[in-house]
Amino acid sequence: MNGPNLQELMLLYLADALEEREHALVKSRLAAGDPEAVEALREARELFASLPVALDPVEPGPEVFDALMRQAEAGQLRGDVSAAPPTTRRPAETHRPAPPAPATPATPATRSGGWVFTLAAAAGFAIAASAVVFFLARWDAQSQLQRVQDEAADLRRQVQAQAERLDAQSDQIDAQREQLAAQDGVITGQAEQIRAQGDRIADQGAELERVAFSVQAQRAVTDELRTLFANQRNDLMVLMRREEEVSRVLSLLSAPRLEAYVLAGTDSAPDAAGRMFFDPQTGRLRLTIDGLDPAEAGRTYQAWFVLDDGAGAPVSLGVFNTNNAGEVVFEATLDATPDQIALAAVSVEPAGGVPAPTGAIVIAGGAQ
Amino acid sequence: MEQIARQDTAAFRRLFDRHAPLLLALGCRVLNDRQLAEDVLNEVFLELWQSPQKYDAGRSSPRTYLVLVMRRRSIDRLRSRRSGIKTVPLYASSTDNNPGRSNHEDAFADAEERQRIRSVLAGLPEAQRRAIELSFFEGKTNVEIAESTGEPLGTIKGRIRLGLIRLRDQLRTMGTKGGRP
Repeated sequence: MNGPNLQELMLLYLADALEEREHALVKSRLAAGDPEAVEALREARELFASLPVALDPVEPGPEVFDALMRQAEAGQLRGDVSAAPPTTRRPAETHRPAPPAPATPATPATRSGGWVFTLAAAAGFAIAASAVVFFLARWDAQSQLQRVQDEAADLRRQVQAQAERLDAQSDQIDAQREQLAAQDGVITGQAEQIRAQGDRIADQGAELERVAFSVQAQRAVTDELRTLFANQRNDLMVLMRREEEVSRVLSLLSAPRLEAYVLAGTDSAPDAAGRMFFDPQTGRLRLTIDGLDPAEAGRTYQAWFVLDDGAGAPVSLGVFNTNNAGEVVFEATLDATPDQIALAAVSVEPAGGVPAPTGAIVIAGGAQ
Repeated sequence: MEQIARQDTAAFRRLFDRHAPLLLALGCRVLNDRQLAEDVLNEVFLELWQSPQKYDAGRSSPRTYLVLVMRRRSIDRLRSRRSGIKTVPLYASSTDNNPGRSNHEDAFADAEERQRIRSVLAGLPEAQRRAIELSFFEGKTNVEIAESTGEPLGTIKGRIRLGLIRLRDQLRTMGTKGGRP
């Protein structure tokens, strides 16, 4: 993960301070039971829960634990506890009965008999009326008290029922929240898998591109190797030809009765010089010339030899031309194998050669 | 916790004595009402006594478990009250501070840890500390904090991120782990 490390992520997860993508990632790892994530969450919880340590502790009174134990022993359920009147309440102050009203001082009685009777009758009536009023008022107060108590009991039942409904709804909401969290974890996990597959496909694509590039590079290398091989084969062919030539030259030069001839340019080609080797046993000869300009267009050089008796006509060895450097190597094998060639010469002739020399001699020489 | 799972009253009492002051302080801070906080404290411990299997030692220490449950319940209760809540600073002094604990070593260690965490919190920039307080102690979502402060959501998230990371780093530097059993 980039950015914060795993424990920081868990800390921020508890504080609901994660970005959506980070939140999904954390949920996915927790849903997968990733032990590293679980441990990081545990550590983050510890830190998170240490915040209230900064508060001054508040000692509960002894009645709190006593009330708790009474409820625990009574086996009350949680819902009952929350709905029940708080059992940790401190005893409310009780209203003490009002002190009796001070007695009214007695009025001095009159000694008059009529007054006495009248006063007694009035007092009796007043007492009777007061008694009636008192009993009526008491009866009304008791009725009202009963109604109020009934209404209060009804309200308590309603509150109790409402609290139970709220608890049930709260439990349902909690269950739905857990289901949603689980679904969220599953969806997040699937999204993560899809992302991972996408990443794998992208990796494979990149790998294919690398392979294609490599193949292209190897093809280029192969082409270069093929060219190099062709060049080396050409070089080899040249070497083989030279080797054949060298073999032929060595073979010729090793002939036991080899004859050597030195040819010199005539006035027609004063810079020309040549040398000819001839094996009378095999009839093979090799003529090398330099300093002789190539023949003009429509013309050719033709080599001749004359036997030592000088009686015969010149025998044609064949036609050739020199290269731009004025050089030529000319090899031939005679059908006849004379013991001695008296003279070797080269003349300029029409292209294709002639049966007997007609043009000027450009180079000629005899045996050494 | 194993003893509590076996309904050992003495162990339950020890756990209550050990953590109730912290939890009640948290409840008072969130609810700003001691009576309500005591009710929530009662619920939390009663639930632990009746359903000790809900605690998973692999997930957290007992203190962390109790703190997180107390916080969640207090915030739920706060939201259900739907009334204006007066907030108090994070470490306002309490009139009920009573250091008379049966275990003096625990009390001393708690005070030491409290001092460390206060020191680190005091070292945070005001805006970061306030954002953490609103999130942790008042249960406000980042969106609610952004709306109440009139600042962008990203700014609020950034403050909480930076504040928490800095808090963690400094507590590590000071040698205080996130929680103790």
